[in-house]
Amino acid sequence: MIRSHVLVCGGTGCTSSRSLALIDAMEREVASAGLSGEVKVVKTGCFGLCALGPIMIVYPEGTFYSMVKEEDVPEIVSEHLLRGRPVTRLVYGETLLPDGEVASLDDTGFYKKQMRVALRNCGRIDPEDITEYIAFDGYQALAKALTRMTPGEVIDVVKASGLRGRGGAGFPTGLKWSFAAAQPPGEKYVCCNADEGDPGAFMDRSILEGDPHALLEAMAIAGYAVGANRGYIYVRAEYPIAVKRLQIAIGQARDMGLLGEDIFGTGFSFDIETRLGAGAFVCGEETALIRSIEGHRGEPRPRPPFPAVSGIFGKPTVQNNVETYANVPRIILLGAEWFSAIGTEKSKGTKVFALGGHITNTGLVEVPMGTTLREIVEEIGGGIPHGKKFKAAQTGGPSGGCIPAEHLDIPIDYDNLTAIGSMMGSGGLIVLDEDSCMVDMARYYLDFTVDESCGKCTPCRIGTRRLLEMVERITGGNGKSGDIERMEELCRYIRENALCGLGQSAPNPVLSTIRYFRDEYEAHIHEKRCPAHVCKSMLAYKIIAEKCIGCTLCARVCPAGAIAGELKKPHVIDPEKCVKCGACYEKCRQGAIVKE
Amino acid sequence: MKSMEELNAARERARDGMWVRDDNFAGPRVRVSMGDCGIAAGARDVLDAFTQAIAAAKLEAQVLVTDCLGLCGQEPVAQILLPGKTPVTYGKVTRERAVEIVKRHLAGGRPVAEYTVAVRDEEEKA
Amino acid sequence: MDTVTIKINGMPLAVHKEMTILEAARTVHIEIPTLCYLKEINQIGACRICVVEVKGMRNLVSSCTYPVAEGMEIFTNTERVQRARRTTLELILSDHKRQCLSCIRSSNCELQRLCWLFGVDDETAYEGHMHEYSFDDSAMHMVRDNSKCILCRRCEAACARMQHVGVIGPNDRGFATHIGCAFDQNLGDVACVSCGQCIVVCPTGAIHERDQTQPVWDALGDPTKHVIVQTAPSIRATIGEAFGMPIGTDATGKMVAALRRLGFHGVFDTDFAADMTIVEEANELLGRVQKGGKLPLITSCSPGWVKYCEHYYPEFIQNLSTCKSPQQMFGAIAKTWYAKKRGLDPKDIFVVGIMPCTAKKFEISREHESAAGVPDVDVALTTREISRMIKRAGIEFTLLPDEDFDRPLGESTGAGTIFGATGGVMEAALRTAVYRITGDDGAPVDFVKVRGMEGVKEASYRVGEMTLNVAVASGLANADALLKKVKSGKKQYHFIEIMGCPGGCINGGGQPVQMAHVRNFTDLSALRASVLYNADVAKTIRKSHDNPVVVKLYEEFFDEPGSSLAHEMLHTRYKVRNHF
Repeated sequence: MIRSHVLVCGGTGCTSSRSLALIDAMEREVASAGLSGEVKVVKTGCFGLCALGPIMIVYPEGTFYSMVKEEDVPEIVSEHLLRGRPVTRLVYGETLLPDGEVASLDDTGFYKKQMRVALRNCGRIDPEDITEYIAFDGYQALAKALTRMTPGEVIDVVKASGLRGRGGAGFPTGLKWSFAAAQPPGEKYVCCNADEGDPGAFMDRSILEGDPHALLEAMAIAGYAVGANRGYIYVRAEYPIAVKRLQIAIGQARDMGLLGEDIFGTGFSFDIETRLGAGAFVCGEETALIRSIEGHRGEPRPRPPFPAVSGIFGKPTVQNNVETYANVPRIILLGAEWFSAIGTEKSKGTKVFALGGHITNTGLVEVPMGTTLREIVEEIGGGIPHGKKFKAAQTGGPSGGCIPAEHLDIPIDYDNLTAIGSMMGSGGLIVLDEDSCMVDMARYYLDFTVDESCGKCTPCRIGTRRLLEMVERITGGNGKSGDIERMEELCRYIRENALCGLGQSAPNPVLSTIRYFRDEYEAHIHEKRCPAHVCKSMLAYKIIAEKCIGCTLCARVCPAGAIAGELKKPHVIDPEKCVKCGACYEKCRQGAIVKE
Repeated sequence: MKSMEELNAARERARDGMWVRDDNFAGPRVRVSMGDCGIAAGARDVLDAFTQAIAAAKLEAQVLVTDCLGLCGQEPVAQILLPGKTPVTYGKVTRERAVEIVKRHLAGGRPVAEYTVAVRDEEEKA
Repeated sequence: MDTVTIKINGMPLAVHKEMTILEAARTVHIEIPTLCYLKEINQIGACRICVVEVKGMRNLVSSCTYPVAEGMEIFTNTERVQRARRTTLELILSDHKRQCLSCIRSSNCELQRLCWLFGVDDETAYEGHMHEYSFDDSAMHMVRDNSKCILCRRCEAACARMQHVGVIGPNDRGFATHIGCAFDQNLGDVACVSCGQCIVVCPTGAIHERDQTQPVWDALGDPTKHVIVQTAPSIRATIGEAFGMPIGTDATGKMVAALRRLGFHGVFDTDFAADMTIVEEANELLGRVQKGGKLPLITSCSPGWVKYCEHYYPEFIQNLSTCKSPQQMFGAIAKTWYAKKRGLDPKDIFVVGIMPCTAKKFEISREHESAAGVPDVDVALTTREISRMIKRAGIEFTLLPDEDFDRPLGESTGAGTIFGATGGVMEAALRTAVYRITGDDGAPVDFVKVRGMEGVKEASYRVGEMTLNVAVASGLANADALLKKVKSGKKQYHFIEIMGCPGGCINGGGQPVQMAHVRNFTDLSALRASVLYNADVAKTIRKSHDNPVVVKLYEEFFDEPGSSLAHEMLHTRYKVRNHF
């Protein structure tokens, strides 16, 4: 009998910190300790607490180990698995009680306020083993839909659940399905947008890697609902683990007859193919994604017609993103009322956020809609490191905007975020502390959209570039009076005239930082000063003579030879030679070097 | 898969053993003291005997290992934790006794009084 | 109901429900400005010039793609719309080589026209990085200058959708997006067929023909040269447009007068050579039909089509007529028979072709196109180039008297004239073939089933003992579709006419450029073709074999159609060319 399961994260984050070697080591060590028949090592998807990877959970106790190295494995085996003594030095600190006992992960700040619906199986099952998915009620929703519900009833349940698209715009999913279902019978397609492109967002990747069958099941349900027999998953080639697991999952589902002909003996047939994207951000736009699937250059086209009417190869196509689909099996299984009881009035269910930036717990979190930004940042995220102050959070990636401290208590949902000038987007949530320059942040995101513009329409191709050049003039210390107004005007033009949603939302980072941090722009333009000391053109490093002890450390690390001074006498930085790399600032132990 | 029944049967098969990983597990548990004193007294064999007996009886039970429980004189020591019941501690457990404990206590619900060493006062949450 | 009721600028109107806003506005004579829009070929909403306001919509919408809907209220000229269009133009200008003073498209540039219309008086409203692209002048027929490209993608659409060639399209992305061949190869190194359709759809000076007017000026100024000019059948139907005359004006007489005033020593007609082509080609057809040669016989007068065949359908090379094109036959005759008659050394004769076509520039450089040991034709100019020469010479084209071609190479029949429109070669050939088969001089001359602007036409004619099955295709996408059917055996024909450009030479890549706001809502090809069919009817001689100069030429020189001398001088060869 297997008495213990050792779950090791095989998601991308932990894989990059060598979790696969950890799995090998664990299997070797378990065998040599004679525990092969008692302990099973399971490679799972992402647990969410990526900052602490590689992560390992030992069951039945549920002990949560973080940052485990290969050399720790013998100790875990001989101490924990054999003798029942958790290796406390590796146990995630928040679960370690003062008496040495190990508490449940669910009671930690990071997990306590989370509610896992879309991520329910991530980190819990082996994504490469369909039987584990089936053990946790996998494909029950498909069976229920196919054998006990009409397509119309399926759509009604999805509509009633209030599920909205998790990819960005938040369009009601059930409504989208009903449009495709209303098209005359014939060739139709179900498409999954797995071209996650927002910098910092990786929830879709996590689901693909950790629970691929949830996606397949949901797509089959969608196929049944709208009358489609074929599905495409457009996934970026930069997600090799996701691609591999998807392909394994599709193979296993076919082998078990959960994809293919006559599923559950109902006569309904459905199969899925993957299409690999080359990683263009714009291919996350639904019409560009369809063009790419068809084998063309990935460029958006004007809508209407919408994909539900004319999508892949001109056929009616339902397209949702991964996280949206991941909710569907639970909704079918537990009912629309269960789902719509979670969240706010117009935003139901949960939302996964990729927490990053200046925050303690970087990783993936799933919370009910309506959770406040403060709860996410301070409780789940564990606050801002080094005692710094919160300045803003950027949501919605390059299409979104910033949320300043004054809105920390706003319940997060689609409409609230839009109302304060940001957007849900796919759920990237980057926290910025007091040392961040908001003009530079706008420049960063705009630089991304300019680079990722497809180049089809004038406002995006040239307009965003000209906007970036204006922002760069400001961060470069060459801003002029009137620039803010000119930028606002150009932003409005781009928003109203660009062809696709990406172009239309490209000015958002600029508009929202002007809205909340106009004073920073003004300081850059009028005083030639970057209040956060980030913009290099306006930055000078200086040595405070009174504090300098003449240790020469700064002079030795300076790559430009810009620091001069005798031993034990105050040093001086030559501003002409200084390249503003900050090496001296980092090195000085006396706090004698300041940014001005 | 040609029917829901087929899927349900597959689910039942797949669930076998998955309770090990269940955070909300509410079934019976065996806890074997695997401190150095216990192992010296033969706890490794006892652990094997418990797992084998549970498997043979097709029981949904978790088997936990634990550090020395402080009853070194009674090793090998094992505890049976039934949901809602006070944990029962057995001492001088042998392979044979383990099989019997599984049969009578874990499966049957009645402690094997002759092998017990003490009964804790406080209710322990299963 | 097929109609919906909408309001445009407050005006109620009923329009077909499948119309776009742009089309609907046009029905009430409101021209919404466009740049990227080419009806049916390029409706991509990329440039955003055609944006309009729709009541209830947050953003402006591109009227070229947005369908009308019941109750829709549209505003085409609000301050918001005008400001947006102006900003779009300013942004385009901010990355456009503003060489407007001397640009080849100056005064005929769609961007320039819109900047003027919208009062874009500050061309530096948006300053920033400007691309500097190198010229692609690797192809014989045209030049591309991406620094004037506005990325409307009309060339891409013409190449891929109209012609099924698809050798140009966008490379890179975002601000770096630029039109080019795959992997930024040179146009001269890819399977471009030289049709020039990309040029006539380009709104700016980013793509234009290789200007070869200078060698012609030089020759005209060289006292040792005998410089003669031939004008292709379709030029007379289009050249007037370059001088502001209405589309569909027959300008034959003024064209001849203008060329004479430019100083050409002989102003001749390619129609004459077209008659020669018909006699040779009809002979070839009968030979193949009677002796079991390779069928269907496919015409070879369109060099864009010939190059397409060599690149994309090498299996049909055997089907191509070996006859040189009329341009080349003219040159061959001019430098042999005519030279002999005039006592001239062929080296001293400079033959200029005025062609509707950029592929003709390529054609003159082909192998086996030098009957007298020197190239049959020295320079092929497009209608646009000769128009520029006439303008530069200060010749007031529209005020010139009508004059007639010189003899002998200006003598032609109605059959030669209709060569310029799709179906014309077929009809001309049928006129002669029927005579050759039946010997009936009074047989009808009109074969109306092969006329008209449809992409593919088919007909069967009972001629003597046999039924002749023929097909006509114009535009290479149509040719592609037709050839696929022939290849698969679905269709069998004796004779096929293929023209590289849709509508035939009257819509060739060398013709005057009509701006999109005109061409989108005018049947250019039909209007221009009517000139040729009217001229045909007006002629007393309408069959090529009745052309007295043709008759005389055979008597004096070639002996008979298909003779060995005719083969040597008037026929050519083809070769397989790479696809990639």
